[in-house]
Amino acid sequence: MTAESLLPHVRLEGISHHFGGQPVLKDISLDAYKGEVLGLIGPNGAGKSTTMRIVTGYLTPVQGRVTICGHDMATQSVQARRSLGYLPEGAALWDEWTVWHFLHCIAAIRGLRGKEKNDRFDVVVAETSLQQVLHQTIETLSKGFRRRVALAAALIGDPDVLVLDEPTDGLDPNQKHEMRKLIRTLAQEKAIILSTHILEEVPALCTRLITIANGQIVSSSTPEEFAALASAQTQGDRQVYDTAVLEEAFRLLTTS
Amino acid sequence: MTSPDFGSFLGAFSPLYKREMRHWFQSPFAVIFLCIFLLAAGAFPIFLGNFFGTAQANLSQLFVFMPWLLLVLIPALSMRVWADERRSGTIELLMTLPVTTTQVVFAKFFAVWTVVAIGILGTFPIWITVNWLGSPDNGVIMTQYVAATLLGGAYTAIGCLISMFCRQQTAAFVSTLAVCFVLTLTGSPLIISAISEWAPPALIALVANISLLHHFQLIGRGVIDVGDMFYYLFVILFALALSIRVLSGVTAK
Repeated sequence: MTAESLLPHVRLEGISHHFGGQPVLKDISLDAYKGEVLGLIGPNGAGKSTTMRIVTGYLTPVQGRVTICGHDMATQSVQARRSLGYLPEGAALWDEWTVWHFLHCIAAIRGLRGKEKNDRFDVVVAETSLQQVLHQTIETLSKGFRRRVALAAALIGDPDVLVLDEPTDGLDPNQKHEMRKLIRTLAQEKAIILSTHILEEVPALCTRLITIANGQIVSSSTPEEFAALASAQTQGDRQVYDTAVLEEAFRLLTTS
Repeated sequence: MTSPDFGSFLGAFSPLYKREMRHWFQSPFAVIFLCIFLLAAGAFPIFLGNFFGTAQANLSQLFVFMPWLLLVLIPALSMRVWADERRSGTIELLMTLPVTTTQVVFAKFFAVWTVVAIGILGTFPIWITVNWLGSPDNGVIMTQYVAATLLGGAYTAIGCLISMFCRQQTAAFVSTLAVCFVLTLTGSPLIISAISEWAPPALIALVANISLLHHFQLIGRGVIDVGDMFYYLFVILFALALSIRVLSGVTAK
């Protein structure tokens, strides 16, 4: 392993943030390496989306440092954001635009030109299966397609880091399956941070789980450790990835 | 600014600018703006200003009404610039792309200014008509067009700045109209004569010089003074610099 590959793609150091005096994040530190899929879980309002907005540079934390692929978000934000693709929660897009124009415009803003841009466009459209809606305006699309358009926009610059806020939200079971498959494929070459409410998808998707409650990291564990925590507390004879077991672990970690 | 810096500035600026232009012309707003502007720009001199009755071969009738037309119509464009982006949440997508706040602010401003300039230049048939009917001083008319474009730029920059503070488009419209109205009116004979009774000459000169209209009239006389040009460029750059500061603050909270 070279020294470079030992450096994390994403590093958060001592991040604290507050909204109008109300603390929302307290001393969050985490590293995400290439090949990792970090799952952020926690109750609503725990600070998952705020953490992601800080990673992407949309919010500047009151305290702490964000480093993306060696670039400090505070001083080299353009270079840092060049290595970063973001799927925001809710995914507000440019509704009057066709998918084709939208993705080409994002690619151009990300600095892609000519053949390189067209090639990336083709790859991303294939990955997210958008061929059939390319010439539709975004406002006419279903929620599942909107989500995939937003994901395509995050992927088009081929960033080393992906930040996905609830990537499977609003998708039907087939689309969820496709999305998970895509995330696992992408994970080989990238560091991925995602947040989710759906505990069943956690073992299938994430290599590490970060549980956030009340703005603090309460546990960092593999999916197996996470489930074991619950099994130890309950009868212990249930299947490891049983939803009820996972929910039990979630409840144990986030309430106390 | 050295040339490689300028090159990297243009790198994301030009697609951002194209995006804004597409945004304006994809929705009916720019076209509605241009239609109303050109209708009014044509109708006011003829029906209110007695354009044909004065029998003078110049465009002073057009440029008497132009500042007031720009004053009312530009806030209707600029109100959308940030209010829309913030309300719909697309600002999150925009500001997490590898772009600087300067590039975004400049792209939005230049796009609106372009629409305004298209409107101002769209009055050229009146210019042709005047040349057809008589022999006007085309040099003066040219400076009047330059003055109107600069004035439009100042209103646009102020409008874009105010739009940043407002989540509601109507709030942005009314505030921009009010601020621009005050900045325009400070140089009018009404205000000047009201304060000339008591105010020291230096204050009168200051109040007159703040006015956006005052410099418009100076340039419109046919003499392009570097000071008047710099005045507008200063107002524009000041409003844009403030926008950049505010935008950095908006995303930090």
